[in-house]
Amino acid sequence: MLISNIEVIPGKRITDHLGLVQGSTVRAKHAGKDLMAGLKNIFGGELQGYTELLQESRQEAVDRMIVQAQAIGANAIINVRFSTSAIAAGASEILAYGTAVRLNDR
Amino acid sequence: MESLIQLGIFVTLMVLGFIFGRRAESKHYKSIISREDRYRHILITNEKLPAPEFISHDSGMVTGNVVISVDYFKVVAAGLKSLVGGRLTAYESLLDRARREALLRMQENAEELGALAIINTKFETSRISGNAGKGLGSVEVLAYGTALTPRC
Amino acid sequence: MRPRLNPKIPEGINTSQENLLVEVIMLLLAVVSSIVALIVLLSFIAQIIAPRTPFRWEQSITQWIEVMPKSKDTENNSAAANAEQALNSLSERLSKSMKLPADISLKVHLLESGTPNAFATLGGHIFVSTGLLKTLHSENALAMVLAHEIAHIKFRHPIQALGRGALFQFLLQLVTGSGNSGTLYNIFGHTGFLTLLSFGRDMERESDAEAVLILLKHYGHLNGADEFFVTMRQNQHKDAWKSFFETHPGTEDRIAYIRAKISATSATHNSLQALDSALDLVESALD
Repeated sequence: MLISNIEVIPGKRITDHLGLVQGSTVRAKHAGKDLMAGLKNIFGGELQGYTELLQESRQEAVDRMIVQAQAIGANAIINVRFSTSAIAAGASEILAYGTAVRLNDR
Repeated sequence: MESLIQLGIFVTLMVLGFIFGRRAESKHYKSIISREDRYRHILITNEKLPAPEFISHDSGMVTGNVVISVDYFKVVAAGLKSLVGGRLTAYESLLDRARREALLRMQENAEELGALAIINTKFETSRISGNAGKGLGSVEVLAYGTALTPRC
Repeated sequence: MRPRLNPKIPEGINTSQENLLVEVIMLLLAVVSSIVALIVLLSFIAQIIAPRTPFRWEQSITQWIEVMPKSKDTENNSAAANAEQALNSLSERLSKSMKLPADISLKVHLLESGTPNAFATLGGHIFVSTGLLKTLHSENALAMVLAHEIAHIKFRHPIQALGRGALFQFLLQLVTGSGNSGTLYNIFGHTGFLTLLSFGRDMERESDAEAVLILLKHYGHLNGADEFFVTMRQNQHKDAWKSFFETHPGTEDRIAYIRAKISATSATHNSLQALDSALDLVESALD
């Protein structure tokens, strides 16, 4: 599965535009990590726990988007976009969406 | 005694939330699936450029938005789950429904214009707080894109 | 070639198919059991710390939190003022019979309420309802109730209960999300604070034992000590399941305990002390 956030894939030709596919997930870290992040907020710096959380969520969102694309017979997703929103305290929602296409070598 | 009443209210709200929330969700999903079939002819992509066959069509922006609220049971379920961490399944179906509903409303809007396709679709998600403190109160999902209408 | 139709994407990719209800019940059980464990642990710690905190701190808490029910101004009711004074002098006499730490000061208030009730709260304040005075017929019975409340204050039970109640409330809010239990809290908030100070069964037993000792020291016998509980038993129309949630030991148990103590002292022929006339007066004045 080829995933790209540009529209024209070099050396490839799009034969079919299949439509929009999306993957999303809502995740939270356990309360202990929330507490640590709260403390870290005082001093600043990277919040390791949340970096990890968002990375995991993003991976899962992409995976789900790929599952959707495979289900409709695509071999590539182009023009992929991410959108993140804070849904509840300590929980974030990640959405990944793009256009599922079928590619051929030119 | 007061704490007993409080517990009773909590349990009642949980049960009500569970029953009605579940019913509302399955009803909503049914309606989403049937309407998705109805609007299947309006193709949605998020490509920036129209495909060659649409090159001489008119374009106009279409939007669809929905505000959807969570039930008490799900707030508690998600609150508990966020103590241990992991996937908040309670909110996932909520957002899935909201996003598909927004897409459907955008398609409805496009159909009014007589469009055949929507390109450059984008999503915007925001939490509408005020009716809830820490938990998720309600979310708004906005879908917008450019509809391509045949020139007459 | 571009197909004319949107793809039909299978359901359930962006949602999980786990059974939410099972998950919630499991988590709820886990959380409740860990809260219980935490409360047991913390009240154990509080038991050790509370008697060592200066009583002055406790008094200063009462100044900025509203712990006291608004008792109607007893100043313009001379009968009530006299009764309050009589109660205070009784509590003073009783407290002399026990080793009360020097920094603890007691203040008894008369509460105008028909339901027979007495309770101790933060800062050494004891409330006695007029309904209680009406049901009691001897000083000995009143002394038993007062001594019980004084014992609560001696053992610093109010401050322990405050800590435990606040913790419980906090955890409840954490779990249910403050927004939603906030509305619940608003409904019960104004009645909630005093009921937070409900003492555990073990605290009540400890106070009962201490009260019996005080009475023995003060009067030399225990006659009449069980009067209040006997009256309570007569007025009780409680369902059996409710007593499970009660923090006080069952009335039966308390009567049995006091009766056992009475028979142990073997001074059965001692006469009872009459109630202070001021206390009798307030009964008739409020009728």
